[in-house]
Amino acid sequence: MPLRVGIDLLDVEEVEEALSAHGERYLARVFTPREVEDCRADGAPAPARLAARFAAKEAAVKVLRPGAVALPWTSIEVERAPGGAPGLRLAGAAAALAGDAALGPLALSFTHTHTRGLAAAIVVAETPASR
Amino acid sequence: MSVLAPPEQAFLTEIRRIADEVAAPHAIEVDREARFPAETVQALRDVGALAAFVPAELGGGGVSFEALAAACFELGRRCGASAMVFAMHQIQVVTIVRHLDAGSWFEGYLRELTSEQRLIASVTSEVGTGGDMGRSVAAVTPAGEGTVSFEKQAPTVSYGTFADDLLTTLRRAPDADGGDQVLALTARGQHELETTGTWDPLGMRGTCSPGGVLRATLPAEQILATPFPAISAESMVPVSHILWSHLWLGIATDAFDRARAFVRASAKQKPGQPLPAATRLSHLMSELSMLRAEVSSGLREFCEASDTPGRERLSTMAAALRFNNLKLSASDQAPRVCQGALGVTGIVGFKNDTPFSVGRHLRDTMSACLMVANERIHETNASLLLIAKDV
Amino acid sequence: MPDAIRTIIQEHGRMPVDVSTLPDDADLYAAGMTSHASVNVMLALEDAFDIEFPDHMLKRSVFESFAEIRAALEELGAGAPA
Repeated sequence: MPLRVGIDLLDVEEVEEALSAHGERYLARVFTPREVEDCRADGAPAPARLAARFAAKEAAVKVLRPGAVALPWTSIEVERAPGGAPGLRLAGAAAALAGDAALGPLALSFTHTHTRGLAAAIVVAETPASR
Repeated sequence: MSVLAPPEQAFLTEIRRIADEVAAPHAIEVDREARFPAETVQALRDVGALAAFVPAELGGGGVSFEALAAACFELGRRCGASAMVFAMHQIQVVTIVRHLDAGSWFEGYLRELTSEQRLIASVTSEVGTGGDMGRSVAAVTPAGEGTVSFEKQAPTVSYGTFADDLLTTLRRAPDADGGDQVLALTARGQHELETTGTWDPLGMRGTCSPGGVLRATLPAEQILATPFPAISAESMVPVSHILWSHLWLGIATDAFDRARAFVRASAKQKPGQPLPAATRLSHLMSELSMLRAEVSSGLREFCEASDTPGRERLSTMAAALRFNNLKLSASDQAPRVCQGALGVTGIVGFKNDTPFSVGRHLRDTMSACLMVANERIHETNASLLLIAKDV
Repeated sequence: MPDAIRTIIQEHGRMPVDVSTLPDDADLYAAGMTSHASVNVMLALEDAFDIEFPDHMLKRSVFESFAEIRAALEELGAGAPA
């Protein structure tokens, strides 16, 4: 297969519950400081935006296919290129997985609804078979 | 106020002079006619004050943030509208300076701002967002050959038609999320601001802030590289709250000063007689000193946090709560002090044409809880209090 | 301990089925636990047992079944729930 693709969909409510129950501890385990800052609306982290980033990470995990390899959530970071489209920065175990599989750069698109409480993301990467 | 270096003392001396000699004489008329304080803004331009915060390397005044805050206080004592125009302009300058990338277009822009003493206005609020500054509808749209365009409907743009340049929040691209925002600077000639309403409010009448439709085409380099959420947390929100609080404190301080002048005048007229107003004045002083303490500590905490590596501390939820509380407290307390001054001065303070008039002071500070509605800030704080580890 | 784990999954796992119907080695993901729910489960387990899952234990397999979770907690020296 020339491509690997991953997709994820989740209820924003799950993020709201995690924020209420575990607050900053939840944020610190799953998101990087930059991701938390990017999600601030009027100062407080917006659950819908966090959910979209979580969906992005899970979609990336499906592309990376870790198997038995431990993969901390923060090793995959959603970032914004200056004035550019959102992208994924891989570190540690995530970067190693991508390197070992000789994947091309991971392309990302994510979104969330405003009233229906859903967030989704899709990640695509070229494999060596495509070249 | 804190100890300042000699060049900053000179800057503040100039500001005080402008406040006393230009802003004060025109304050009543600026308020009555809801007209732009053009004389004061010109006087500020004449001494280079619009570029006070631009770094010396770029030709600016290079004064500290503390000096800017003190300047807002001094102008606030004499004319609330003048102080608000000055503060709003400085918020944009400080934001650009704090997020300046070396070699970017904005470096050259700051030099031009300095040499021409350009006035910047802010276009952050938007129709359809319910007052949420962290969400935009209007988006930056590619317009070919390295340019972009946008069209934004703003319910209010302070002194928009009197500004040379506008700093606007927008969605990064037509397909970007509402919270994926950037800041774009447009100069006169690049934008067209069509006023759509009137400005006849209870207070801050000289800020000339009707709503409008803003259309612009600009080179893509005129967009700040740092995403807006980071700019907002590290700079725009705390800086706005601090500079506004200082000018509200200035207005409240002048109201207190007038109340005190009234009490002393009364004592002279009736020497030796008991003066109930003097006791009321003492109560008022307690209220004023609380406001002063809150504003002063907010400034100090911000300057300390700004010194931490990467300004990390400013991105914490504890910092967000602190600088939100500053605005909530100051916007609540300043009009309370002004109302107390009315209680001390009685009818002579109530009338608009006496040396002890405090009506304008009360009306101007009553705008404080509305510029960004306090209820919205309380809701944000409520979320933060649930989530934050330390507050 | 097994009961405490089942209770936590029931309360935080957002499972579409009654947890008491699942055997000890049932695949929780197959039974409906989403990846975000596994995060909530992890945090709830850490709270309840006063432990912290280190990075090397952040694998899908660790949260795959009640048996796997119990083994992980034992490895982390978890006693009775706090």
